[in-house]
Amino acid sequence: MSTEPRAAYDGGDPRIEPGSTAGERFVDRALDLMRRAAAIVGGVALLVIVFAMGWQVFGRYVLNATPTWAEQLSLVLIVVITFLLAGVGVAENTHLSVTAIRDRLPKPLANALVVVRDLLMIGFGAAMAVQGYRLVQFGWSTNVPLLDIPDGVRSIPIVLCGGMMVLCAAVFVWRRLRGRPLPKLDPPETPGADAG
Amino acid sequence: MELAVLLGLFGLCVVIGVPVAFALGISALVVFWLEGLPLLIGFQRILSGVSVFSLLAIPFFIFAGELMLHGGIAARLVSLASAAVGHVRGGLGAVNVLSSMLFGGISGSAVADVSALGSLLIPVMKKRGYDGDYAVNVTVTSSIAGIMIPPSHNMILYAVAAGGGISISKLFLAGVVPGVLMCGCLALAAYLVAVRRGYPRDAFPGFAVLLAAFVAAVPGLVTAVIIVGGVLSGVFTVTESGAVGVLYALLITAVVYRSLSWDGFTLAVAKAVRTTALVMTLVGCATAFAYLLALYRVPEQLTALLLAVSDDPIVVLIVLNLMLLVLGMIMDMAALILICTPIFLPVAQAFGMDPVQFGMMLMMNLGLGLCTPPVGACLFVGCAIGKVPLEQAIRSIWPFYLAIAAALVLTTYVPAVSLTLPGLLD
Repeated sequence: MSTEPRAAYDGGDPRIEPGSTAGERFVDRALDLMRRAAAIVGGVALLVIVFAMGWQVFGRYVLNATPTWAEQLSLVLIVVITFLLAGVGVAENTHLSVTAIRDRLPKPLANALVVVRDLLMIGFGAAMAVQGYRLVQFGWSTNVPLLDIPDGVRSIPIVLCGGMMVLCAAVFVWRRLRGRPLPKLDPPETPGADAG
Repeated sequence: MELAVLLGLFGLCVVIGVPVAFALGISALVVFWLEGLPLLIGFQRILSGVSVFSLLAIPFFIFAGELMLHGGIAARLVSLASAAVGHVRGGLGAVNVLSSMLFGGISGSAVADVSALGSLLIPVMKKRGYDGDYAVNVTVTSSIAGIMIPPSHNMILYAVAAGGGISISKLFLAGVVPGVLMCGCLALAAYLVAVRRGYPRDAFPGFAVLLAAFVAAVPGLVTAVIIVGGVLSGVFTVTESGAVGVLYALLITAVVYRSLSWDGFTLAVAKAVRTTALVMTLVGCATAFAYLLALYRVPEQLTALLLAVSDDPIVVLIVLNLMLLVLGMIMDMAALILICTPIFLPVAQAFGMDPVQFGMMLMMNLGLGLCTPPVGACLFVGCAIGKVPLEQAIRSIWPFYLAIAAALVLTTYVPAVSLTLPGLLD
């Protein structure tokens, strides 16, 4: 294991850790692009749900014709937000976790447990991707009620989330074991509204 | 055996720092595998846990809170509270508590409350001669108002975790009295500490200033009225009321106040979807976990265990409160609502407690957990904003803990505190 950077990086991009190799920079950029794309899709989905629900109320009270698709579309999109951004949460390391106990352990043991954690995440992510794909196949022959799209579409975000988890956790494990800097994937300004 | 694996593996995953949502998912999946159940069913449970219509209100409440935060509504609420109660001794402490009631009633989130009001009030309090630990402690403990006073997305989580049989309207109403009572106790504690430390008293700014502050804050306050009023009157479902609340908040912050910039808007969206995903992933994975808890009849076993300890409801409720307090100290709120409700609610009901009242007791206990180390999100955020070491804040926080404990005891043992208002709906 080496902790020395193999090549100095003098670029100006603050998202890239100084000392990264060209390969690492490529991976960091790819992960950054992936989580940004997922966050944008999730953000648009949120706005669509807000307006769909608003339209449902408008339709019911003003047009006297409730749009029946709004509720079903919202239920599909909440799955998109949940699982795409759950993958982003893994990349940005923002999921709620208890680190107080691990942090009090001796450093080598704590570091080893972080690697074990990431390996568990890879396992869960892989199961998510595989079983999610089976759910997609399972639901492809039926349609979401009131929407002309296959029910399997609902499960696609699970596959993507599993894939993102595997990818991010694998990069983290690989870098930690080799003593390389981790990708800088910080969430937008924190903290804000939270689970509490 | 499988139950021991489920709970043991979950505990182990949490201890090594696996995110709580995935710890629930991993332990549930392993037990599905041990039971010979297809893993596909586990993921179907997770998916179905997320696809619940009433849960759609959660992203809306979170988004509305973020818009308040970045759209200037919080600042106007603080001005109103300052004009109303800033003139009593240690007035900024009271301003802080009242602001939490007003803002928390809209955002429904304790951490949002601490970050929004803390960044506005803590620096001002320190500049005016208040100690940093006092400013942090008042801000942190009064943030629990966000959980208790409607609308609160935690109430929706509780209703869903309880199996969907509890009316969200009743939960919203039930939170009002315990929330106000708790804020009253906190304001009293803040006043007594302020007197003891000799904090200053400001002059009353006059009714004209108070009226002006009220008029400026009214459009923001109406957000809560729309959400809660819409649900209680039956005009909207809770989900629709959340969406209408967001659209209204957008209108107010962007058009009326003109204080929501494009950057503020995109930041609000970015943070809202992230927070939503954290909560909803927990909901999904907890659904699979709760399925197994029900399969192994955990609530019945716990009830039998508690009956072996005592059949006196007072003792059992003390034990339940202590268990929730300890759990709240080590784990975050949303996860605990989802895990504890299916286990503890049947126990509380077996001892004659109303599910609505139990919900209020659960919220207050877990809210207190947000203000205690080692895993107190509100406490950490408050200390970070106030630049006060955690140890220093903890040394002087006990009067505020006592104030919350007093409100908790009343909520636990006097059903009328939480059940009188919802009773009006019957």
